[in-house]
Amino acid sequence: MNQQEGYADDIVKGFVIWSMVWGLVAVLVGVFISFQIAFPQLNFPPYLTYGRLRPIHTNAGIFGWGIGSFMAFFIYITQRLTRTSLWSPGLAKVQLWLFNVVIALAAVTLAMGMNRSKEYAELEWPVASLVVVLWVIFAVNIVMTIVKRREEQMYISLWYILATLVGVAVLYLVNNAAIPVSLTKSYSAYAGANDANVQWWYGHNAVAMVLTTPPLAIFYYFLPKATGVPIYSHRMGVVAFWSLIFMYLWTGAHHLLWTPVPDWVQTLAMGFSVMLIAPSWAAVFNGYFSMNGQWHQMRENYLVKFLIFGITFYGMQTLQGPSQAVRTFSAFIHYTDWVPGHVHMGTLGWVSLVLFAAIYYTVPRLYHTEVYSVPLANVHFWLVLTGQLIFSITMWIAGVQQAAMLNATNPDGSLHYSFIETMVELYPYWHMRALGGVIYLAGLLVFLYNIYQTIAGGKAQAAAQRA
Amino acid sequence: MDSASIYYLGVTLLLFLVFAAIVARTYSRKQKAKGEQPKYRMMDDDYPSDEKKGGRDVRRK
Amino acid sequence: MIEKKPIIFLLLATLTILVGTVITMVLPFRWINDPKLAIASVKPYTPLQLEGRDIYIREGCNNCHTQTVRPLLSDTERYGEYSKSGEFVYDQPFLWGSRRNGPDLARIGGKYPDAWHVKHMKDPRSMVPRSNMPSYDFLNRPLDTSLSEKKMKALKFPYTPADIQALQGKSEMDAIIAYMQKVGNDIPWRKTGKAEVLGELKNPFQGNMSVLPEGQKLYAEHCAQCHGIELKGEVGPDLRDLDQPDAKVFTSVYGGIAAGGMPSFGDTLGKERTWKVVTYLKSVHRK
Repeated sequence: MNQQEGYADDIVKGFVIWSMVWGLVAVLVGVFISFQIAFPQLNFPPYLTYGRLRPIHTNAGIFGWGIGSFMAFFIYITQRLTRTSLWSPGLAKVQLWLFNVVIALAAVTLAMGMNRSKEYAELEWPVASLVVVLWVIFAVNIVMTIVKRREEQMYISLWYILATLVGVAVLYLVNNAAIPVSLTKSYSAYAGANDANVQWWYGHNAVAMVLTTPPLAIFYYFLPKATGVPIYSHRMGVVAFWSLIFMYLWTGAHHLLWTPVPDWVQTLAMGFSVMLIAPSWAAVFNGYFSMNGQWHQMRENYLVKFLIFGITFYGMQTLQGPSQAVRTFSAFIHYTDWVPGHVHMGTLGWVSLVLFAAIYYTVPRLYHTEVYSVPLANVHFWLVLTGQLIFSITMWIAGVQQAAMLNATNPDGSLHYSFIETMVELYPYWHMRALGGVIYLAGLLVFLYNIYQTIAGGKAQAAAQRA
Repeated sequence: MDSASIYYLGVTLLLFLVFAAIVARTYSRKQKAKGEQPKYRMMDDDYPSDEKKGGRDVRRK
Repeated sequence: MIEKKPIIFLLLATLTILVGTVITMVLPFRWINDPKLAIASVKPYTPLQLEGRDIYIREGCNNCHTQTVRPLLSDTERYGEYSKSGEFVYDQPFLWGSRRNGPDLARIGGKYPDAWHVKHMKDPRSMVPRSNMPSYDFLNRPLDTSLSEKKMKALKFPYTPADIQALQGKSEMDAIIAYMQKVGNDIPWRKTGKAEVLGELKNPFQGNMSVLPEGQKLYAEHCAQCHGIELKGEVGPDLRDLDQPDAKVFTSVYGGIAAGGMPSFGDTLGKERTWKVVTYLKSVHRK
């Protein structure tokens, strides 16, 4: 524990560093599988095929990079917003170890083909059980810290943190219910259309409780900190909070439009998805209005650039998402490349940009130093932005093109193209996407180098002071 | 209108009322100062609370 | 008030997320998989099919292939009868997928003969020239049957000791093909849903030599994998000196021959290109 400030910050350092490691793994695997799609010769069965690597990419990204850094910043933010030190730094240390063990186990077991097949819930039951233990340890520590707080009211970030803790727990437990056959094999407890409905209730709310509420908690904390100006409206944040966590849980079946899941479930999902625009954009407006009179900081303060671009992508994401949730549009673009384009705007644009800002803000403070290089941070920004835009835009075009081809008919009503004829037209887009991924990876490496040098500089200064 | 539709309408109205109540409470005059207070207090939290900083341990209250 | 009481806040937040959860996720259990929606002809998996399904899951096939045909023209014309809830009651987990990097497989059962699958799994590009599917040649290894009986028990599927015995000597390839031949094939859609060709079947290109190069090209892309590039036959029969009227050849190519394992190419080629293939076929003779 850092005695000088009274906050348990060493553990934050651990989570930040390990989340960056897993983030690099996620992007490396992502770039590799984007090449596999374009060049099938790059599949090396049995372990290194697209089918086995794609779950490693998503799990490393969502759980390694995402959850890892959320753990770091939940611990960082909660202590500060409660003006008290972490309830149990010892428990947090156990949590860090367990976190790394779980992610490493996930990568190894998935490569070996131990896979439940349910998206973002692929881990077999022994590993999934460890995830539950990990989450309980984490949740107890955060909740107890909030309970013993020295600040009467809870800032909006704490609301989102608490919702995340309970939301993820409910989702994960229900969707991972399984009938074990052996240590390495289990079957889902639900069957057919039921299993599908449970899965996408989980899947879409993983988007809510992992890729929305935690980054919002982080955004609401670090935007005011970076600009030096309080958030525009705390009360708007509160109203949006309740609306958001209420409505999200109804929307899972928009992943199942036109499938055998009951129509009324699909219709509710569609309606609530459109309604979600309101609370989502409340957060966007809260960000923008906070910048009133501060827009010059976009030029001067690289942190603000990351955060405001991040919330802007969140705004785009929450307009595009509901439009995809409408039956007619879904009929057109679902199952095409449009969807990966959409997802990566959210993960690379929204979540990661906000996390980059949070890391740039906290690491120099944790190591009592300055960031190594602001110009490098700017290079990082433009590289990841370019990489992500190339990825998303090419995938949207590819998706629309394939959808149009799949729907093309001859005058006699028969279909004009076979599936494979629509697919082979995607190769040029897949090459572009891989290029976008490489550019993004380059940006990430610049970021990692910058943070590495910042930490090294901080340690050198500390050593010099002691001497 | 069958009974199911009336029931759904009732639930919808109820949910809307809950929402209206949350908005009314959050934006009531009484709440204005209090509701916006955390956003100012969070600006100054780089050190844990001690007496001089004005933080207080709510448990001891 | 709640912003000062974290435990009450936690409970309220939980309640809030449970409303939508109960209505859209818990309640549907009452209707989905209702016995009234059951389809009598849909049967549980045999031990071999179940092992095949587990290989499909292990290899992550669902990352590129969906298994639901939507009731939309572009799906039903391309893949077949739209999917029904009752067809999936034995699917734990469901394998509907979310992205079609490859085609939907909900109606793959019975579409191709086993021999086609063997060749395709071994080297996908030998059958579909520009496919980006990885090669699954390594599935030609003995099937691990140590858990087979436990698996059937876990899912409460009926089986006989003979079924388990029959797994001896099977390869993983046998299993996954047995699985794929079952997928979507439990309802008799091929007989009922087969597109009929209306109108008189008259070859618009009869005697038109200029379409032969294109017909040959189409043959190389779509037919040569099974009938050989020189039409000498391989998976399918020798096609040289076809002694059938154009209309008959057209019907076989366009609609397939279900009994013989010949897939239909109507959805792939359309009428005009099918006629070009027919014209080419009829032009090839033994030397």
